[in-house]
Amino acid sequence: MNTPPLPVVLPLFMAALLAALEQLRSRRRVLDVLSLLTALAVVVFDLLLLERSLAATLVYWFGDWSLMRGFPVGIAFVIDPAAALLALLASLLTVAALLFSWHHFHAVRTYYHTLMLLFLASLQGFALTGDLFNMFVFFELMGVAAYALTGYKIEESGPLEGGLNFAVMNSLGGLMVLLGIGLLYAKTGGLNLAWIGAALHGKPVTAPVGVAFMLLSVGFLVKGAVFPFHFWLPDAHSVAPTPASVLFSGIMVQLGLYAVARIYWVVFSDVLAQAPVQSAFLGIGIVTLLAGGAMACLQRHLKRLLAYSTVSHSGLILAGFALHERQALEGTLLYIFGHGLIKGGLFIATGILVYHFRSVDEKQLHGKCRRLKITGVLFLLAGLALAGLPPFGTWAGKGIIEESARGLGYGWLVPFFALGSVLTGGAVLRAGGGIFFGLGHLDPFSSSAPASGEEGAEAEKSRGPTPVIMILPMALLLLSSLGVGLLPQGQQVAALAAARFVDRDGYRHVVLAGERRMTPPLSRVARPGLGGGLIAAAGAVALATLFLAPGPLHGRATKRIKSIVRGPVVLLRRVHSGYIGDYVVWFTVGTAALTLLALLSW
Amino acid sequence: MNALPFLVVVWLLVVGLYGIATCRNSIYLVSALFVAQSSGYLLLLSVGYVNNGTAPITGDIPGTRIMVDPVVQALTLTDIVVGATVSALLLALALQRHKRSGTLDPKSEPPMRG
Amino acid sequence: MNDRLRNTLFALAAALLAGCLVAAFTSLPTFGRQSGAYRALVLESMEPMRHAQQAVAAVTFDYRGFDTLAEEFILFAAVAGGLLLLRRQEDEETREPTDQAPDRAGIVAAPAVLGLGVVMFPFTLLLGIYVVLHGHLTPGGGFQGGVLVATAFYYVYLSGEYGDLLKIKRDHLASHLEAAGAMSYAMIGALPLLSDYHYMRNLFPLGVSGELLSTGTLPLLNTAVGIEVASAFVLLIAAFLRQVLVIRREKKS
Repeated sequence: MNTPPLPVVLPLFMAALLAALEQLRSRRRVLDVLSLLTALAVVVFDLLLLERSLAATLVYWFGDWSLMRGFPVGIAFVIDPAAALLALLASLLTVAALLFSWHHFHAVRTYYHTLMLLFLASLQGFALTGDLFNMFVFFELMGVAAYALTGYKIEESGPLEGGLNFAVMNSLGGLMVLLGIGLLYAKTGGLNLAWIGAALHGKPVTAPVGVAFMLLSVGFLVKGAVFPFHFWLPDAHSVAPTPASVLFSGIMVQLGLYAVARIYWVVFSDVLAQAPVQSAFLGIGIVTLLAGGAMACLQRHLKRLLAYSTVSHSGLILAGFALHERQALEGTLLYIFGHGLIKGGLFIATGILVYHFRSVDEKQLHGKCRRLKITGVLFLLAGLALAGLPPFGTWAGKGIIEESARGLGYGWLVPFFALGSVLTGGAVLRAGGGIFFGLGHLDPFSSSAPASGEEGAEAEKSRGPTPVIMILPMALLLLSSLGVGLLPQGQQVAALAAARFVDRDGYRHVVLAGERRMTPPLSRVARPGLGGGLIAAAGAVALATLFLAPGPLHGRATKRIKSIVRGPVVLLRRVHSGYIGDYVVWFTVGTAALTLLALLSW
Repeated sequence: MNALPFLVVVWLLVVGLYGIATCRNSIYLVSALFVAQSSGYLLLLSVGYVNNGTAPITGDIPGTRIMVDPVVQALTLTDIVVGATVSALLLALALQRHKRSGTLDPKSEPPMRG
Repeated sequence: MNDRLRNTLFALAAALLAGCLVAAFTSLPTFGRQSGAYRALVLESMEPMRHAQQAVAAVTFDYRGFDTLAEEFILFAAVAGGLLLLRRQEDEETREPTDQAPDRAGIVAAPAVLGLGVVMFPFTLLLGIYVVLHGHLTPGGGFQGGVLVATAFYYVYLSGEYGDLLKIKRDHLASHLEAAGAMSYAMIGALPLLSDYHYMRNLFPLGVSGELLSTGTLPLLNTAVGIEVASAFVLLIAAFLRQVLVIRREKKS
């Protein structure tokens, strides 16, 4: 039974093999087929792991170094359904990205395929591991592959700048993780998550423990792109090649937040008092949700718009995790799945625009893409799905989180969630309506920041019809997201995954005692109501209409709105300055605030 | 005295952060990042130090001795490789950007803002 | 943010962060008095279970060998990324390296520099190979030795004979060696799967403690890493050299 290492080891090996077969660089199709087959194999492995983990959490000790006098001396993969689900999402998105790049994506030698496979392997390892330092190593592998992919188009200054900001901020995040590991190692002498949790259990909380939790959280929150650690994300995701953006926005960011939740539950949930973490992360989540949504509305560079929408959804996901409750976790897992698939589809749509028009600028493209009917319809549908239209996965996830929030007395979160959906969905619908259907005239707010340069190196300009192999992955992704929300099985798996995720003692037990403990069966699986989703989608349509509508709406009312929002808008734009020095100051402020909170509350 | 290694750790981190926050040159930025990262190495090694401990190698010298923690040394080794590779990538990005826009100043004309 | 606001904000935040971290670090167990469970178990078990005498190598390549697999591929990814970023662009061309100083006729290395390079090259190379092969016995190993081997090739550059270095590209032998090093680490780790053991299990004969061929897979893994690291650094330095010395932007007419 040696499946667990394969999702990591196979793509690593294939990446090296492709680099060795440099002679194949002129035979592009061989590279495409080999990497696609690898990604598909990883999908199969992940499905197998998911199926087995549903029965019982898998623990796989590398090198057969397991427990020595009760202490884990080796590295373990601990695969519960949540880990397997996220690994599966990563491999599915990789397949979609590779399918998309099949056609007319300008691959430089073998580098593109090599780096994509390395990136896939790092995502898998990060999701599956149960060892803190191993997590750090895969965090860094993820980073190195991603920085290189971001700077792929060296012909333009945007990707180089974006790659630089991305690499510096994420390296600082990695450093925080390392400092946290150092503190925990000094306290407990171990690196296995379950062991650290068990070693801290029942001991009085001291300053290093609380600070270690915050340092680890800061590190992973940088990857998770929440305020005030998110500034690198729009710079990087908007300039990376389309297939890389699919993975960045669809799964990489979410894995950062998943790591925070995992570490909290396995290591700290019975050590640290819950209230400070909860209020801090809920607050950060809401600020991120609103700032990201507002910034998305202000963009005319389509990929940057989508990147800010990812920031906004990150805020929602963090808030979902921060509720620290089984049902909220179930909703968050569903939401990550539903959102990742849709965001991947939206990025593929921008790739199709680049393929035809070499531009992703909302103004330049206004009304010019009428002939791309299918892409246009899918794009609008994805915009609605982003806003949480039933029965997409985003709707199901968000509905379940909201229900849990109400139950916990956090009902005030619900309007914020809805607002985030309206802002991000509305921005996408406005862009789609203008670009594909020539609706309205250009809105008053998105006028500054022009899209930089022509999107040259990614593909040649084409006047023909869109190749099926470009639209297909987009359609499949949307369809899968629909399936996630529609099929009860999706929700059952998520519910079981969440139950296993919060079963801290069960997790520690299966790692440290090797015994499987069955999770108690769930009493009921909640189905979210349709109302919230419909309202959010309607709100998004209304917002897009407000942006696009000509005539009377642009009279006094708009002027008033404009004068009210001008102040915050200018401030928001100023804060996102694009200068790495500012980002580091924000990072220091955020880290200082969170560590201080840790010292004060524990 | 016991706090000294940890004070140095914090000092390296803060100085590195300061270097990045005020940098006007990408090469300088890479060096400042490396300074910050060295705080991580120092923390790990300090955490694993044992008084009067020697290198964790038994081989040539027989008898029992106190040895420092080999695990943190292995972790540090890994982290040094990570730091070096990230620096190489950052330098490559900075070099290409210099060719593109003729400047190493990260502050001059960010291509995208807002 | 203007400079003053940024500096003030940073000073406040950094002071606060430093204070918090110092508070956390100083309440750790006293410096030098750690007694971690991990350390004790590794030091105790490495000799009887693996015939290993160098604990750092045992941890790196055996107890936590899977970390090192990922670490090796971080380097591999950095080389692929570095070569990708340092490629020649379409509007650039390669030219013969020329001396930037106008008053010199050509590039001629001083005899002393050349001589030093010639002398140092074989010694450094040999030292590097020694460090790689004895990584499981003495301080050192694949990473350190690999860097030494690469350093030997830097002497070639320093002594002015960099023409050959400039030719090292993706289809060069060094590139194949690099990929082969990375692949062999992954494959050595996969061998135990054939007999239904777990990935990275140390299955090779353990030999006699202290001998060159002992501790099972450690020497093999060290060699794989050494090959990978040495060729990775040679590839990277060659890519940077090409950028600086021979790739020039065409004059726009």
